[in-house]
Amino acid sequence: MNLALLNNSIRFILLLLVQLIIFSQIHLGPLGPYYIDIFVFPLAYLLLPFRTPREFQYLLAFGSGLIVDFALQSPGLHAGASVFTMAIRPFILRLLEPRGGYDKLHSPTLKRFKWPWFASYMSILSFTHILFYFSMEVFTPLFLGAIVIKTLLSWFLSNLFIFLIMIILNPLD
Amino acid sequence: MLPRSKVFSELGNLVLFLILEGISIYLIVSYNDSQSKIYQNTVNIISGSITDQASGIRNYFSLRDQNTFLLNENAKLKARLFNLAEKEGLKTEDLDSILKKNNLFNLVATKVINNSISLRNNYLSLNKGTKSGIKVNQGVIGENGIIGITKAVNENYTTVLSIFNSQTKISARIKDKGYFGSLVWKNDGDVRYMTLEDIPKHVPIRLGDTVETSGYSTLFPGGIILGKIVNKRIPPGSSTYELKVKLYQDMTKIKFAYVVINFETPALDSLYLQTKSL
Repeated sequence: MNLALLNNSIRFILLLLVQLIIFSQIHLGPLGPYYIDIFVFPLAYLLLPFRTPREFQYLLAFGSGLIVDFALQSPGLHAGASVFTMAIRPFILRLLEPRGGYDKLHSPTLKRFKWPWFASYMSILSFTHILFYFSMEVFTPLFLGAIVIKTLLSWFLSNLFIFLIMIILNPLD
Repeated sequence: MLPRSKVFSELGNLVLFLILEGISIYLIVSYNDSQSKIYQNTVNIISGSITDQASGIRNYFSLRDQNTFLLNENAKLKARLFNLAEKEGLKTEDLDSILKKNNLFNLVATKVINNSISLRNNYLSLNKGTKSGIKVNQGVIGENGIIGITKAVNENYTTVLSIFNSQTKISARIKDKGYFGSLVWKNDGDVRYMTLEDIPKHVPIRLGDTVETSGYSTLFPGGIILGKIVNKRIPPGSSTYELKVKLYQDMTKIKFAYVVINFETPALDSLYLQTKSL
């Protein structure tokens, strides 16, 4: 019980650091104005165990987003996206619910649920986060094309790295 | 089945979600530059007409006051004109023809339909736009001083960067002394005072000296009285004064504003571009 808490806290902080120190420094721009940002920190709040109270889920998502925001000087963008994604999470979990349901002591990790489940869970929610982020960054439906292109590029690369991190760390809970 | 929350009810969670999203969007709009511009413009378009209606209704109740106010201003201006004519020994008709010859500025009278003073970066909305000849980057003055600089214009409405905005910088000088600097707002939430910077410290400054526009920018005509100096200070290590200026204009009460159209701006701008390309 306490071990899980410790593991989760360390993972949470580690992922934020990885995001800030490594991935936030990368701005790939092979396509002119459509630079690609890589966001892996959604993992930090998306791997929270099912039993985490909803309030804490929201607050942790908000906090992690806010920390990244202040480091990247985009106040509110990631915080909003994280909270929104956290609100979507229960619906996606219900959608993907395996036979027999969830054990509330578990976390939505690769080791527990294997590839197809984890890939769909993670890609749907990271898409939500990134779509929300870029919609808010561009902030007007006039540039729908820009939003879609940025989201897709960023989503593809981010997921690549998220899965890579998951394979390397491969936590149980 | 997913475990249920133990601390709040589902409704409580919804409220928490809404609060957190609200904070995020507030942060986005107030601290990110391009988002805040888009927000301003959208607000301008959508609420411009609504605020206009509302302010129309509100105005109806203060018509008498406004009438007196405008009459007084009119009388003041007329008196100035007569005194000027008297001093120069001219007849009013002569004055008209002289003014016509030296036509430099034109003022567009507008109504203030929206005015913020409590934010970190403040804006105003005016009820006239490109149809009346208003463009981006024109000065806006009030009865007792300046109000701001036009920032975004559509057909019928204008958004004005208030003088109480961290982006605004006004070229101002000390009356009768000629030393000039820039007038800025220090974001301290006090809308009675602004700060005059960049005046060298060897200049003799007395408290109570009057500050006016310098006329060195094309935005404002020179000699508009802005306020008086109430406090002087030289920050340690600096070679310039930091002068606290009390404004004569009460920004909390403005109802009318005049947009300054400078007929020489295009010529000066092209000259500036020429010198820059040399």
